[in-house]
Amino acid sequence: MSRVVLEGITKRYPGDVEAVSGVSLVVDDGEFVTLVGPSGCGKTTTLRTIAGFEQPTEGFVGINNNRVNTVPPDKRDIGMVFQDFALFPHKTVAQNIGYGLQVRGYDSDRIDDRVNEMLELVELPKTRDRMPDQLSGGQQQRIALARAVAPEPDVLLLDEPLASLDKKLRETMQVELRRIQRKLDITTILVTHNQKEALTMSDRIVVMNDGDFEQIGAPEDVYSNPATPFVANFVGTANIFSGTVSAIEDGLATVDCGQAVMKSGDTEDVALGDSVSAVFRPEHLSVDTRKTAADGSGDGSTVFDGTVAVKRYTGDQIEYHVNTGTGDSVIAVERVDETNAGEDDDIQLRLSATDCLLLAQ
Amino acid sequence: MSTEEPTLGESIIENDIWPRTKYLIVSYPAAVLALFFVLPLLLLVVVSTFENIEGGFFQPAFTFENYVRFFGSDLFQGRMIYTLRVAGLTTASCLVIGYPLAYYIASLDSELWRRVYLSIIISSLFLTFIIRAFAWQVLLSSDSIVPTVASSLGILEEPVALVPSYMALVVGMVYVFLPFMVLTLYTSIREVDDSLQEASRSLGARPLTTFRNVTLPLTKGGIVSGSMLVFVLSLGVYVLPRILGNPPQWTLAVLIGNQVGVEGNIPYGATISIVLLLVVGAILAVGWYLLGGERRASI
Repeated sequence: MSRVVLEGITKRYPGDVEAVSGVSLVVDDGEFVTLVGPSGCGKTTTLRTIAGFEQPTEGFVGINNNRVNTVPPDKRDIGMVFQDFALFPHKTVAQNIGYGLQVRGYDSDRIDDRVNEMLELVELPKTRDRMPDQLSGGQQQRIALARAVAPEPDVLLLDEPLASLDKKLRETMQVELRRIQRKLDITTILVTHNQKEALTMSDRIVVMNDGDFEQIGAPEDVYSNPATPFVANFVGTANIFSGTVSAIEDGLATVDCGQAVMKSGDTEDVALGDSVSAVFRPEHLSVDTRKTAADGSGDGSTVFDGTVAVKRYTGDQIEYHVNTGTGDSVIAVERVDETNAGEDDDIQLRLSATDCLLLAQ
Repeated sequence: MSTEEPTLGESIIENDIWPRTKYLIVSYPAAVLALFFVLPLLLLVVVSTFENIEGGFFQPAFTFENYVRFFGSDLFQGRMIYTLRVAGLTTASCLVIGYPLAYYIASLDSELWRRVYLSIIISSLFLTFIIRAFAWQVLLSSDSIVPTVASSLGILEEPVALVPSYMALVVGMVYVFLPFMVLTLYTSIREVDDSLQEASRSLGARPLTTFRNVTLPLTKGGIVSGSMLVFVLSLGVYVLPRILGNPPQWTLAVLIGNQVGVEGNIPYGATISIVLLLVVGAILAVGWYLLGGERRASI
């Protein structure tokens, strides 16, 4: 049973710089949790606190129900993969993987067996006697992973392990990492600034901003129900309009956002006069070149009339950056190019009220 | 139709001046090397085969008599061994004292403090050898700080002068050459990526095990080059043995100076220099081999 518990972790550096501000999290046995956020949000500090490279200023760090606040990293039974892989350049692949067992005093036969087993696991059995600089980036990544899990640690910590790989390789490794994590059923905490990585790999994601946890939840939840405008904007792409609630009737809120007026069905937590952010995803807008009803308020949807400023074709979808008549800029996405609008063409966007979330500011 | 013909200007630039400029640029380092390094060395070799004439003169000859004299002389061979021993002890002491110091400075988080420490170490180089040697002569003399403190701590029975002596010479040399060792080691230790040490710790290795398995092997290059540097510099000391030692503490460089300056035997001085040079060359070759071995291992 390998649980990681963080309770009220605060990390302050000299000069009153607060990197992490009182965060709490429980990572269950075998769970894959990702800390995601922009650079400088404190995610790496949080991970290094779990690893033992940093001591929290306040709070409780627990691994397996033991308080480990002041336990040094070498006594924590963790495995860690670093951003630059940190393979020992003067040791062979086998010596790298066997290192954790060697320092624990295992005999060489046992180390050998485990090294072979690990090389099988990461599907690189032939690299045994190579030096790290004879490996490609992806191979180094796998060896670093093999080395981290070889001593069967309680917790696997991954610090931006895929950041230095190119896009194609990164996607392959996302799948690989997840496969190996499931196979070993090891409690894993990943740190990344890449929201796509967070969404695709994790059981749960933790969105961090400015030393705080903004939202903790399953990837689908965080994506479809962002708790704050920051989360909405950071995880996936979002259109965000700030405004004031001017009317609530029949489960439909009207939000005045400057010239634009938004309709939203998300009325649960809002009251008349509240300052809110109206948030909607680009894929929820339906795009049309023909103008239908000039005012969509009849069926409770919001309609934007505008012109296409930029059209981006990304292979699997078409992205329209639209300047609306109300002077705003809205991003809309279509799976297939049904609309076939070009740049400078007039276009109409329609948003159903159920797809427009209202978040407190 | 005539566009492919070079114009006058182009032909001059491409075919005339540029190639010569290239040769000029390439020949500059070669010329400097030849003029200031190879030529004097050759002259030294040639002079070492000359015949000495009483009174500080010499005449061209082609004789190995000087070399025969050197290798037949217990005095000079003894001095050679003594010089190597002093240099060896100095190097070892600098390494033992310098490594922890360099390691400590390199591991400081604050760049400001790293710079302050390094500046302090470098600042000792601002003073000439001679001043520093005299400073040690004073510090180690009978009524001075070191013997007084040593006697009050019971290390010495009574405050006696510790200079001139073998110990005084080594202390002075370590003091003078330590900065070279520390700076070389510092660079090498700084180059070891922090994440390698962290990786080792995360895999269950204690700090000392981490040092033995990761830091030390990865700083082997710095250890070898720092040691070579200090050893070679130590072999050439001239001022320190004269100030901190008596004739029994004189190194080969002092004897070379005496041959040239006092005895007026320039060819023999040249001969000893050449022998010393060959020893230095052999040591550098061993160092290169050790460094090369490491490079081969890491490829």
